[in-house]
Formats: sequence, C-alpha cells, structure tokens
Amino acid sequence: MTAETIALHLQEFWRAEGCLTAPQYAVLGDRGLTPALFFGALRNGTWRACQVEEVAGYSDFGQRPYLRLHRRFQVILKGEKGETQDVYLACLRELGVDPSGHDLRFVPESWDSPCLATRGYGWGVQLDWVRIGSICYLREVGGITPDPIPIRAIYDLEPLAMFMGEALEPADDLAPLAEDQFEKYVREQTDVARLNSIFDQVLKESDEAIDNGLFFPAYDLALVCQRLIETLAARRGHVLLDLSDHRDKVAQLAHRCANAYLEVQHA
Amino acid sequence: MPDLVLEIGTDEMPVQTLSRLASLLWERAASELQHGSIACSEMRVSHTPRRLALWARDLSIAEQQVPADLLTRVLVRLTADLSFVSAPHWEGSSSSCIGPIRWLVALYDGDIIPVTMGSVPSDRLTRGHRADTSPIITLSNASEYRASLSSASVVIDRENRLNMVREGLAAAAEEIDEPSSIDESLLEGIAAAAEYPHLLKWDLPNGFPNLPTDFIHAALQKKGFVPLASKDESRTRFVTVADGKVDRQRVRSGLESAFSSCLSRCWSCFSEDRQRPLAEHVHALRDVPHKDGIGSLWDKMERLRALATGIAPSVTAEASLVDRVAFLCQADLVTGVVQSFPSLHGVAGAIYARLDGEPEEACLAIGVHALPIAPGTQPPAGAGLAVALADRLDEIATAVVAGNELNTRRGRQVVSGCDDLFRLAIGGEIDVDLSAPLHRIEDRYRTTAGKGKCKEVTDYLDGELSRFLETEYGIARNVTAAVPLATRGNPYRAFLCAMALFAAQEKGTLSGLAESIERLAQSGVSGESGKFDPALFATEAERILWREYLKAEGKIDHLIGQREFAQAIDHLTALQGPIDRYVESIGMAGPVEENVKANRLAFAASIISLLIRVGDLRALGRKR
Repeated sequence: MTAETIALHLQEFWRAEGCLTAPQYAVLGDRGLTPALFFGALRNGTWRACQVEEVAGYSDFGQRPYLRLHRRFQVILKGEKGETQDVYLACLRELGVDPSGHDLRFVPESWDSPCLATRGYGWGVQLDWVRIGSICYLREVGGITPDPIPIRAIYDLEPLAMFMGEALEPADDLAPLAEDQFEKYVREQTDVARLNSIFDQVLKESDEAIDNGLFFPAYDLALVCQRLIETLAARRGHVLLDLSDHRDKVAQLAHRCANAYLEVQHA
Repeated sequence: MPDLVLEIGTDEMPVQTLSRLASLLWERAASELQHGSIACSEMRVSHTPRRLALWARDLSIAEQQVPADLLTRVLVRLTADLSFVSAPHWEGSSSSCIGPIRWLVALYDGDIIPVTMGSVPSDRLTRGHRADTSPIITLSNASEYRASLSSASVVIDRENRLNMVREGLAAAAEEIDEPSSIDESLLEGIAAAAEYPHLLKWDLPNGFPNLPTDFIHAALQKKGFVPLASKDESRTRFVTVADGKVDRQRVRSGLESAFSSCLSRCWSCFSEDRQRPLAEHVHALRDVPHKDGIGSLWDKMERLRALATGIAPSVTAEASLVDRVAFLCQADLVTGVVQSFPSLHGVAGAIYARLDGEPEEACLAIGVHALPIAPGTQPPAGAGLAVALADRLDEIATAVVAGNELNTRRGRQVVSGCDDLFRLAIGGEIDVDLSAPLHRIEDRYRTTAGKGKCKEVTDYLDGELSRFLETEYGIARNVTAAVPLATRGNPYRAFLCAMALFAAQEKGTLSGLAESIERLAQSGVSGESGKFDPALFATEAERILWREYLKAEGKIDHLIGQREFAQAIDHLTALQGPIDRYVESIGMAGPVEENVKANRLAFAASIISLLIRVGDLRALGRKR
C-alpha cells in the first residue's frame, strides 16, 4: 500500500466517522496549521474534518539544514469524549496495521507553534520505535482557549507505508532534487537582510488585511511569515539569530486572526 | 482479611507526573487510613504509564464501623484530593490537560466502593496490556488484582519491571564477555515507560565502519537503546525494551529502520564536522552567545585559557599544553555531533583532536574536562584537571554574576558545578586559592548591567563549600565557618582544615582551649599582635608562656604551610596550661604600671592571634 492509497483509506475511515474532507492546502512549514484546522479549532460546537497536508520542515543535521518534504493525514475532532486513542487504533487496524506482536507506544509530549500562538499536549504514536503519528489536545489556538478542546490526530503517511511493506521511496521523482536545492539555497544563497525585509513586507500586508477584517488572507500571509522564519532559522551560521521578535509579531497576527474569526462566529 | 484496591486507569501520562502522583497518593492514603482507624498488613502504591494504583492488604476495621460506609468516605476524600489527575499538568506546561481517566476500580473485598472521578464511576473492571488489545478484566475480589494484571501482561510494580530489565541486560552483557556499565537513569526511564518490559538483543549492522564507537553509543542511547560493549569491539550489540510480548520478526523492520535512521544522522553530522579540523571550529564560537549572557562562547574560551593557565602550576601541568586544551575544549560545542548529542561534549572534542594529530595528552584532557565527577571518583590529572577546574569555576562565576535565580534549572546546574569543582580540588589535592585567578580576570565577567562582581562569586562559593562539606563529609557548617576566611578560597586546604577542626571538636580537645582563650580575652586584649616587649614581663608565668609562644609560633606556621592542621591544633593545645597559669598569675599580681599593663594586653593579642590561625577555636570549643 502506498502513501496515496493509505491516505484514501484513512479518508474513507474518517468520513465514516462523520468527518468532512477539507481541501488540501499549500505546502506548510513544520509547525504550520492549515486554515481549516486553525479556524476549525476555534469554531462553535462540535466539528470533525480531515485532510492531507504537505509539510516542508527543516531538520538540523548538525550544522547542515536539511529540508524534509513529507505528507501527513490529519483529523480535527471537536467535542470528543476522550476516546481518541481507541478510535486512532481502530483506524490503524482497519488499515491493516495490527499492533499485536508489535511495540506500540503513546509517548506523552507537548507540542507548540510559537508563531501561531498555538500549543497542546498529547502523545506521539510510535510503532516499533518509528513515529507514525500523534494525537494532540490543542489547549490554545491563536492565543485563545477553544471550547470544547479540539483534538488533532495525525498519521504520518511515509512511515506508515514503510511499515506496511512499501519500499522507502520519495513522494515523487522531484522530491530529492527539491530537497537538495533547498539545502543548497539555505546554506549558500539566503540573504538574511533580504529575507528580513521580505518578512517585514509580508507582515505589513497581513497586518493591513486583518485591519480590514480579512482574516483568511491575513492568516495565509502569517503562514508565509512562519516559513520565512523557519528559513532564517535554518540559515547556516545564523541558527542562533534571535528570532523571538519575529515569532512574537506573527503570533500577534495569528491572535488577531483568531479574534476576527470569533467575532464573525458570534455575530 | 479483606484487601482494598483503588486503580485509576488513564491514557498514557508522563512518567514524572505519575511519580509525583504516586507519592501524593501514598501520603494521602496513609493519612486517610490512619484517620479512619483502619489498619493493614501491607500498603503499596504503584504506577505504570496507564494506571495509578493503591493496594492495601488485610484491612482491619474497628467493629463499630460499617466497612463499606467508612471506606466510601475514605475513598471519596482520597479521590477528591487526587481530582487533578483528571486535569494533570503535562511536564513543562503551566496549563492543565483534558481528563485522561478511562476507568476506575475501587474494590473492598468483593464489593465496589462507590466513588467517581471526573465523570467516571468506580467499577470492578480493569484493563490488560494494550498490545493484547487492552482486554477488559473483571475482578471478583480485590485480592485478585495483582495476579489478574500479571496474567494480562501488566507488571504493576516498577521495581519488578526494573529487575526484569536489569536481569535481561546482565544476561545479554555476559553473552558478549563484557558486562558494560549501564546508566541506571536510562534503565529507570525504560522500566517506567513500559507495562511489561520485553528485552530484545540486536547486533549492530555493519554500515558505519568509521563512525567512532562513542558516537554510535550516544546515538543509540538517545533513542532509548542500551549499547553493550564487546571486549574485542568486533561487534556492537545493543538491547532495547519493548512494551509487551512482541514478536522479534515482526518488529525487525521498524527497529532496524529506527537505528539506521539515528546512525545515519550521526554519520551525516560526523562527515560534516570532519570537513575541517577542530581548531577551525573554534572560530564559530564567536557566533554563539554564552547561556548566561556573559559574552560569547569565544569569550568563555578566552576566560578558560586565563583561568586554566593560572591553575596550571598547582597541578604540575605544562602551561602551553593547558592553554592548547583550553583553546580547543569548547570547539566541539559547535559541531554537528555535539549539537545533536549534547552528552558527547568533550568526548567528541577528544576524538576530533586525535584525528587532527593533536598531542595525546591534550586529547585525553579534552575528553575528561567536562565529565561530571561522581562522589568518590578519582578526578583527572594534569591539564585535564586544570581545565576542568577552570571550566566549573567559569560556569559558577557567570551564573552568579548574571544574577541567575539559583532555584531554577540553571541554578541546579550551578550547584552541581560546585560539587564537581570541590570534588576536583579535594580529590585532586590541588592546593590553590581559586579566587585569585578569578579576580585576575574580573573585568571579563562584565554584564551589560555593569561591572562583574567576583566578590559575590567567592561569597557564593564560600557558602556552597559549607554545604558540600556537610553533605559529602558530614562536617557541620559551623566547623567550616570556623576555618579562617583566607583559607576558604582554597577548597582543598579548607577541607583539610575543617576535617582537623571537626576531629578535634569531636574529641573534645577544643573545649579546654576555648575556655583558656575566653579567660585570656576577658583579662584584656588590645594593641597589635607581636608588639610587646618581653623585658616588661613581671611574672614567671608570663615568661614561661612567652617561651611556649615562641616555640609554637614557628611550628604552627610551618605545619599550616604543610597542611598539617591536626598537628598544628595539637601544638596549640599544649599552650593551654601556660595560658591558664599566666591568666591566674596576672590576676593575683595586683595593680601594675601602665606600660606593663599595655604590654600584657599586646601579648594577649599575640597569643590569641596565634590560637586562631588554624580556625576560630573559641567558637568551636563553646559547649554545644
């Protein structure tokens, strides 16, 4: 079973559990949240949705920034009774992953996205020492405590495919080339001053959008800012740049987006 | 007699949180049982990642009480005390988490005690191991609890799980000749994170032939694997612990992928690091701010060079070698391997220095300079010792100068750094006043707020030395406080002096001497020590004391110089008789001329100055 077919099976399972299928969004940074998740987590009452995400996150191999492109299937559940682990496992079994005879762990962990003023707690899901996903209770989204607490469940598609006997292959032929080029770009070309200037401009654009109550475009631009920060953080020789100011500015934007959305909800 | 069991079933919770909850449960349960006049032959509190349990055996309850009613009241109070389990604090967060309580067992003998936690009512249903699809187990009686869990692959006692891991590791280590030293905290973590630890042995695949063994071990340990050393290093075997009875063949693919991925990462870092020699990595230290905000790591390296070369003569190490070690020893902090596996700081530096052809003595010193010093272990020697002392001294100084709260994590690091510093100085028998090299570079400890405050550092070290000597050697703090201030900057001397004073105090030697000093002081003391004229002595007792004083003075200074504090105290004790006779004689002598009186006062000042040269004997000799 390939990552694509796993995603389809997961979608089928969660649709049967009452989830809407949210459209796939642009490539996200490692700690990005799609608008469907960010705003969905804040909406009133119960809500269930799922979607495939493409993520481009820089891992730090020592001093060598390494862009990892991967896909994951995420589910957002609002108004659950707290039996998510059981449903998560039931889904794995439905997929053909039988945990018996394997080492299955729910490892407690905290998760946060400082740029999006979002954080939560839950578990990384490990199967035979390989992380295959996570479950997270999002205690704060955009600096606001949602009620009820939304749960985000993630299935990492490539490790699952590998577990199911699929040879470890990149998502497509271009992926290795893309990863090489991003690495070279971050190591050799990125101009910190120019990236900072772009950051300021995008931030300003986002700020103006939210001034006009346009929280979707504002949030979209906040995600661009987040990726710029991740690139700056990965820039060789500048890994120690103090980016907390940048993060705070984007977090304020995310908070304004969350508030603007809630105002519309309550109107 | 009947048993009682209370089991709170949860989704997996952090081990530290569970440990704290278990302590609390034990404390509250003991108090509640006592309050209800309930006796039991044994009480245990246990936890696994998914459950927190109280089990009390052979309960005896006063006849006039209705057991069910009483225990309901007790458990209602107990569960109310633990109500925050339903909203526990996840580690490192200030907010509470959503309630993970999944089931609640409250059984007295065969009866359910009706209590509720969150929205979960008590029942007689518990669950087995997750790998067995968490089978639901019905308990007909509390006495069945432990056996039922055991048959469902749950080892409820952490100590039993730890023993299973220890025994399995010992057997695995024996198979390859060399039982290696195994980090106990790693084992504790492994045992705490599983309901049924199942050991798996594996040989490392041959794919990383040039990767240093230390790097392989660090990478594996970070993943929770326990490496075992082979005597001939022909193969690396490691052990990992699965949770539940796993099938070796089924987990093979995941496990091999996990260790390949962590070793690939290590290999990638190693290759990148080796693009240039260690000495070139040093320049990157300029870009790394010091954690206490006192300059950069480059500045730290420069401070280490100054401190370590200042200490070098005391450890009989060649200054140029010490300087080279101090120059290189921080460089691995900016290498990929150490950034990925911080525990390799020092070890990685030594390996890289060796590959660069640095002198072997320097490599060894780099390798040991950052090692924590456990009580009773032999500290390094030579350059390694000089740089290790400098490293700890700088760590403490920057934290104190930066005004770090010493009750924080950083504060605990500093306390641990103090312990290392004192163990290095005392264990290495280093006779050096550490405040001297520190004060020589005081201007390098400037904060943005202003001038560095090395006086605060030495005061802090002084306080920490008292704490250290008390906890490590049982020397009461007032004894260390009696050590002369000038000696306390030198931990090794201060230790020897405190030990001698402590022994003399324990023998009771000091009380008579203290009384003599007291009498002498009461007879009047003034003037400058040594400014007296023997020609003005009016009594034989004065002349006898003077002769004894002269004999003792030279010996005591010599003995203190030789760090023979116990002998020095013995010599001082010999002065007790002459002092007493002197005090008695001048009391009986009646009025004397002013110049004779002034001479006596100066003589008394000289005697007392001599007597307190080893320590404040007057304070120590007072009746406790």
